[in-house]
Amino acid sequence: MNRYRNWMNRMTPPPGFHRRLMDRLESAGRTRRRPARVLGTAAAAACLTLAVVLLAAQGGIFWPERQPDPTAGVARTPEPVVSRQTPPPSQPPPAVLPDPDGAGEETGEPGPDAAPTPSPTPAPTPQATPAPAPNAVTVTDPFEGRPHGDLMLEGHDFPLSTDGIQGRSHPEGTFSEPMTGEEILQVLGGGDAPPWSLYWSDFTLWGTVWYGGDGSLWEVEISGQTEDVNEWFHLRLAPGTLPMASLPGVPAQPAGSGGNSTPVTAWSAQSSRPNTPKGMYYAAFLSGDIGVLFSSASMTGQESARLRAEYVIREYAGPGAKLSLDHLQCSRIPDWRDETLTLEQAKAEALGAYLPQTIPERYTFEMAQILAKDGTKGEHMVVRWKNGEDLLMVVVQRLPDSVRRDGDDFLPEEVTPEALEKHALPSTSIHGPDASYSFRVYRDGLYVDYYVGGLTYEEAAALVKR
Amino acid sequence: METAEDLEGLVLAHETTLYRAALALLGDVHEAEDAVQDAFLKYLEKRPALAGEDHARAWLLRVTINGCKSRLRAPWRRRRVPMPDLLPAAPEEREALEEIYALPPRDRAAVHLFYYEGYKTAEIAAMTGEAEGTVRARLSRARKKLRKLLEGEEL
Repeated sequence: MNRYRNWMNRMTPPPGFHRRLMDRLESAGRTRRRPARVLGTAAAAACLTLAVVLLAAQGGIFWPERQPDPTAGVARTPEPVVSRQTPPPSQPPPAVLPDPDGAGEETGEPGPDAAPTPSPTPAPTPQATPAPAPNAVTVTDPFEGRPHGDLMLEGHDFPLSTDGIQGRSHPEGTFSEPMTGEEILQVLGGGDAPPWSLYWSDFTLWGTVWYGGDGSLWEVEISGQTEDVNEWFHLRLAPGTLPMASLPGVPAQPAGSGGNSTPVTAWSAQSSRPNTPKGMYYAAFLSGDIGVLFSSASMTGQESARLRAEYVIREYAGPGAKLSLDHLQCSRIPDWRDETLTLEQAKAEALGAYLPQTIPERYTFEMAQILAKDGTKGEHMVVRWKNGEDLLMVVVQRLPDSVRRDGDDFLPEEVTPEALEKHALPSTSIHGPDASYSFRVYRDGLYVDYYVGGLTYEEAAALVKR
Repeated sequence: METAEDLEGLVLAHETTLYRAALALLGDVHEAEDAVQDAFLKYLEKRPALAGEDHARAWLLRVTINGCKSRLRAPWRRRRVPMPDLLPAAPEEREALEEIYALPPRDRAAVHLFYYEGYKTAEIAAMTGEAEGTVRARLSRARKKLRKLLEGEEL
């Protein structure tokens, strides 16, 4: 682990990051109430990397490979090594409100949004089981997978640009909705089926639309994968600007323009590592007034991923592109809440009924926070008390879709000093177990978590009594 | 009223910590930069009342971690794996990195916050929104996989 610490100690933001960050924050501070949009249409065009002639089939695409930035993340001067014996100074427990996210990437289940500010709910995941059938679209291939000469393109080299694609922050209060199959087809140009293209056979498509807190359309993502999960793609769209672009290997290289063609950023990454895609191809461009970010991957080879990307470029970056977002309208804005409360306010909340009725006098109230998303994503309340270094924290969670009692959870009547002594989880720090402990009570369909420092088991058990 | 100097002081005090946490979760320097930027933008939006540096650090770390989790949940991101081979490291560090980045992201987050940042399991639980038992299970699972890396360390 010391090698990890040594390495991490050298990891500092790359040169220029601080200045860029401050510029961004100062800019955002001046227009704080408005959704951050890093790239406008003109700026986006200026950032584009590769010009692609899209007119005839003889035009091809040169796909620059990702190269690691040799300066990114490299410290100029190593910092002192933090060894296991000399851990960072102890910090007081974080005053935090837990993320109500109840699902992990391991499960592939879409979960509630992250605290404290709502962020996009994921679309169904490209795991072994495709998206839910009601919202999915299956692509059929009239050529039954046989090669089709329409996309057999020869390579052309194009000049590279000087700017990479910049990040874009979620607007405040972002929320998402799954797309229907009909909505997906309308985005892709209408009709009864997705536009057929090479190597799309047997893909299942699904989509998610993100809205800003004011209900305005923010971004759309349509994803697809084959049943064997060896091929997949993501088509991300944003009105008026390029979508969020935190993709690997966005080339910080230069831009050119190719005559009367649509400028397109395109890049690729190849890998021979096991269990990683053999080829990943990316493209970013403006299709009329819709920003497009496309990624395509294949676990079995590079050709299919490349052809999918080239198809999307040709189909949607050229004249007469048919992408449409006009039909995506927000029907309802969720009610968000993320507030710091006084103790009295916390007790007055519905979840306040689950707070301890009495706290040992030696503890003083420190803070309370509540996060709520209207009924569907649950509600969290955190209340903290301190006695010197000893922390007492109670977290009440209402997660209507997922709460059930686990084997380790207590029922209220089971919480006795003896049971806590036997079953409470002792807290552990890098120094080893310490005197604090925690336990969870399942009550009325809610979780109530107690993080206890400096209380006897008798005092802790008394916290649960009502 | 917070001044530009106050804001820059906050950024200077915490940007590296947040960057490292984001890098630990995301394994990508570009994404880590974006995640740090998002966290500070969130700070500007929320203007939370933070009681001191430690509270600010914890608040910003929580927001960063949540932001990273959102990124990891994003469909386009889910099938990607971190590529530590693209991160600069000495040969003897490379092996450690590959083992750690082979962990599931949430286990990796727990390892980073516990072993690198020095947080207690209860603190990590509060920060990640998981039960403490879950955090402990993550650490336990990670320790089994990182047995060689952790040889000689107290667990």
